[in-house]
Amino acid sequence: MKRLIRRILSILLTLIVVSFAVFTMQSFSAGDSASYMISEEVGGAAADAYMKAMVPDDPFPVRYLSFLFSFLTGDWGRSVSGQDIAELITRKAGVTISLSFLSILLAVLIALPLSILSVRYSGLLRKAVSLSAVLIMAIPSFLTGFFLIIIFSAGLGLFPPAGYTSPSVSLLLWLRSLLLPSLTLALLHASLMIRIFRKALDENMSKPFTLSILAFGADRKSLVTQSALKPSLPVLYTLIASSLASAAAGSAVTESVFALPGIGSLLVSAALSRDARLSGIIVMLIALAVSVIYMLLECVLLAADPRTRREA
Amino acid sequence: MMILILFPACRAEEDFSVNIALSQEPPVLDVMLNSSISGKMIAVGNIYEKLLVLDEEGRIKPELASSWTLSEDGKSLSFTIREGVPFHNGDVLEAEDVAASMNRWLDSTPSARSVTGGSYFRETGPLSVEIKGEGKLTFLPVMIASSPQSAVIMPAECIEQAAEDGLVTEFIGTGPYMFSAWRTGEYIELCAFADYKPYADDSSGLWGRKDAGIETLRYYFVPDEVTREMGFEGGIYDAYDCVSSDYLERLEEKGAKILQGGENGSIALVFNKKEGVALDQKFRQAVSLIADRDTLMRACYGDSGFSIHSGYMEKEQSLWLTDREDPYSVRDPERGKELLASSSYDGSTVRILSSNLTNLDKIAIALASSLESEGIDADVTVLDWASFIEKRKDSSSWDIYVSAMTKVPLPQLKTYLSPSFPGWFGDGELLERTEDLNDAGTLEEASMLWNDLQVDLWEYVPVMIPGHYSTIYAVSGDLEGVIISDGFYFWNAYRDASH
Amino acid sequence: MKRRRLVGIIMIVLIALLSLLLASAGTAAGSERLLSPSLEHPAGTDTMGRDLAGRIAYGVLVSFSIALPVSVISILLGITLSFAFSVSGFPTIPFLMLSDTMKSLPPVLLALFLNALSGPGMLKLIVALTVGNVPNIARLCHSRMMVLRSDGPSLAALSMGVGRIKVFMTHMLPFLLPYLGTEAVSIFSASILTEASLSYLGCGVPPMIPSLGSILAEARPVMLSAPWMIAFPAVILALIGIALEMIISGSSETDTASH
Repeated sequence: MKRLIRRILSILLTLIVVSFAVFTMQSFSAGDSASYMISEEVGGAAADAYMKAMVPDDPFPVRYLSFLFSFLTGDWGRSVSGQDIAELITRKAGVTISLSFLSILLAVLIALPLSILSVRYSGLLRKAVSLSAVLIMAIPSFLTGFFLIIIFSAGLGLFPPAGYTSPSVSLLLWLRSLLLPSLTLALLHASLMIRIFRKALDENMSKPFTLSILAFGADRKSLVTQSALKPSLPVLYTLIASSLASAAAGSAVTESVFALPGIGSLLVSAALSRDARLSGIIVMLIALAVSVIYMLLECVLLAADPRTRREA
Repeated sequence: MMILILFPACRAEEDFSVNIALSQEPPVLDVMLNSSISGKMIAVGNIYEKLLVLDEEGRIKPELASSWTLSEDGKSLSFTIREGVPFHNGDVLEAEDVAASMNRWLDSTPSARSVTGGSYFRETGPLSVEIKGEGKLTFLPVMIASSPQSAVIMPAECIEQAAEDGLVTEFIGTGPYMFSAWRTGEYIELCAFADYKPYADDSSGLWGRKDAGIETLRYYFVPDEVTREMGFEGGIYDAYDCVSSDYLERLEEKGAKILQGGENGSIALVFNKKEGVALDQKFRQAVSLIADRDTLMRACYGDSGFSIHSGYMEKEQSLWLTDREDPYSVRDPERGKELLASSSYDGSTVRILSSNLTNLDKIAIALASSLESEGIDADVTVLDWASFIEKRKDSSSWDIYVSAMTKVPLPQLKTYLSPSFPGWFGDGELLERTEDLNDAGTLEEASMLWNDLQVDLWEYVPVMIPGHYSTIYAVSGDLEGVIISDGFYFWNAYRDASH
Repeated sequence: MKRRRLVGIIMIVLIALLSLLLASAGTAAGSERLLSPSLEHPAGTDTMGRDLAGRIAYGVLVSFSIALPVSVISILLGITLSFAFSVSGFPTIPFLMLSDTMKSLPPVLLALFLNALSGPGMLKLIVALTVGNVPNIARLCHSRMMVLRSDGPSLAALSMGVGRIKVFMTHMLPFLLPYLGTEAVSIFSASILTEASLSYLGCGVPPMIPSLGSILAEARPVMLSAPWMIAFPAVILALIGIALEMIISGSSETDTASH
């Protein structure tokens, strides 16, 4: 219980710290992202009045609180090009969320069997898996994306190389347009998962309880799935959570390579258009989402392993 | 004529839709107020029509007008309007709509207003309008036919009901396609207007018969060139614009049709003549001598799709072509450095600004690279279009910016010749001579004035024109009848089943 | 396993030396666009006619010159934090909670936000990458210091009146350094990849400075017609990544073995 409370406090703390940081940094550069709306002829006094309306002369704490309030109530204002931010984000959130979940799903589907198999049958398989994981983690994820495009799209023509089809147009095309980008992220996350999860499996394999079962004549191979797997699961949950959390950052790059209209590419274009307001909102939203994910992780861990409940 | 009558019979069964990928989304579809090229390609000729248009040869031909006359003294222009032309909302075109539309166009187009002075169109009958100017209206017809802000005709009620910000909220026109939907950030959809009646039997360029063989046109917005190209290859798009020359071979192998018209515009490196290092004319001349035009153009366009000449107007606009040479267009870094040494340049960093639209930023980088190789410190800032426009207004933050200037019908319409446009053209005498062009009695007279003015402008170097571009379009192999004229147009397109 | 670590270190040093030798931003030359690898241009030329080998070398140096400060600052931060944790009055729990909030701001996001404020910049990049590592460093130091809490010799020295700082330097630091060292190499490796990704997006290193990421971004449109533009940077990045991985895995075996 204490842990849960700590987690909720953590979420609130994150909200305050991140929003404060964003707000402070934004107010130092208020001039740079003036509105797209002021036409070229409007000069001097009118522009000053407009800027004043944008950055009122209230004291700092008051401005911060009103900033926080408007964020919490969904009053997010307009982007540099005049579009409503709330509308932009709700429209694009679906793409990023589906990309994130699909990539974690694929990552687990790849990592779990491979981890178990390479503990069962060590030797060539284990080495091959290790080598692939090292290679994938050694290059930036967008390169993995390039190679997937070259092989599967330009080469074999199985998947579209870029672009997004919304599920309302066609479910099949939607999945196809998401597959290569999800696979790009999945390979990266899977490599990390395999490394850590496999280590956990190995550790549990050499724990006393497993060894004693072995001494009683149990079959080594099935032991992996029976005994070592369950205690290693919390590690897996943690990995899933941290992968989901870093999917936000990963999506910025992947969405750019595959031209997917999600929050990640929105953040990138906000950065390129020096849109402090839009990027600030996105950063705060992602920070919140990540804290919530970690809180959910905590709940799952508590439910999965009663022993942790007693560790206060 | 016989062949054209046979065409409907030869044509394969109508295909229902064509998907087109454009590199830019128009900010608004109010093409009278906004001159974006994508807006023009989507709306002008499709949704809207004009009194006059240019044909393939660049001649002014009547579209919604059945006839027109410019008086002997050039001060009065009158139009007779075609009878019984239907709007998309069922109304019929009348003089009231024409007058309201043309006057709105005048109100929002400063260059047209400078020709007409304070005069406006008036109705002179149920199907005729007229405008009487204080000065000569010599240039008004060509402006009506081809101004970047399009003189399109819409119902008078649409104009009355325009929103607070002045933009029309409904897109009603007389053209062969009706506005159907706009999903912001995704596409604009048009569908064929069943009651459209062609006003001519043949077609040439943007003028003439429009058959609207394709039922639905969907214009997708795909800023990323790789996505456009690969989407086209994958069959998602049937056509796309701004094809990179690096893809030409590959596209041709796959059976696509590559279409290219004449020059659509020029690259302009605009100097800041209000403050900063470029204030000094010698600095500007030096940059013009040091920069490598071929490298600059290739950085953006690859191996083809451009031509190098420093005339401000496009090559095909023969009226405005001069027989003289730009003394600063032949690369001479030595002379450039000499000029620089004798100028007031103090060695400070040259700040180059560019947007990241269609590889323009590569030109900025190539320019910086050229300068750096001659020992001049240069720095590049690349911004998204919206913030580029914003930053450009601040004269203290840049010295040179890179922009693509589209073709305009008259040289005085080039924005960089205006003292209020970023760049801030400062030479009083040259400015006067530019404005004098408006008072020319005939196009030939204007042409001679321009011949002299161009040379002096090359000496003053308000901008440096490394070259002109000619956009390349790719169209699916089975799509015929696509019209190329500073854009691609599909109102006569059809699918050739035999392909 | 020490051999593995040595091989890794040698590889990195070789790459760094080679890059120092060959680094050159290149001059744009339209007539030499996209030339395939040859004697004159061992890695070919890019879309603006600049020699690719020189630019890749320059890019490697740029990546290293970003990753190095980030790692060094992270180690220094780690040492400082560890000392702070050893002081009994230090508000450890609140500090850890605060640093955990930074976990929700991964370096890529922070860098993109900083870019939105005022454009790309080397300093910004270093700040964003360093801040992102704080939570991990803090947790690492905290867990190691927990072990040291009950370290006999240290407690003895303290009770004998030896200065706190001296105790820290002589007894605790030697224990911590291997962990911090390995972590620093991880951070170095992660920084290289993050910088490459950010530069690819146009939000990393400023446009005039060559970077492996921006070279790859330029290579994307000509991915199929000029594969060398992707192949060479990719191979270099992979070699760097593998070398660093060898250093890390070569180290942790010895670490776990000694404990």
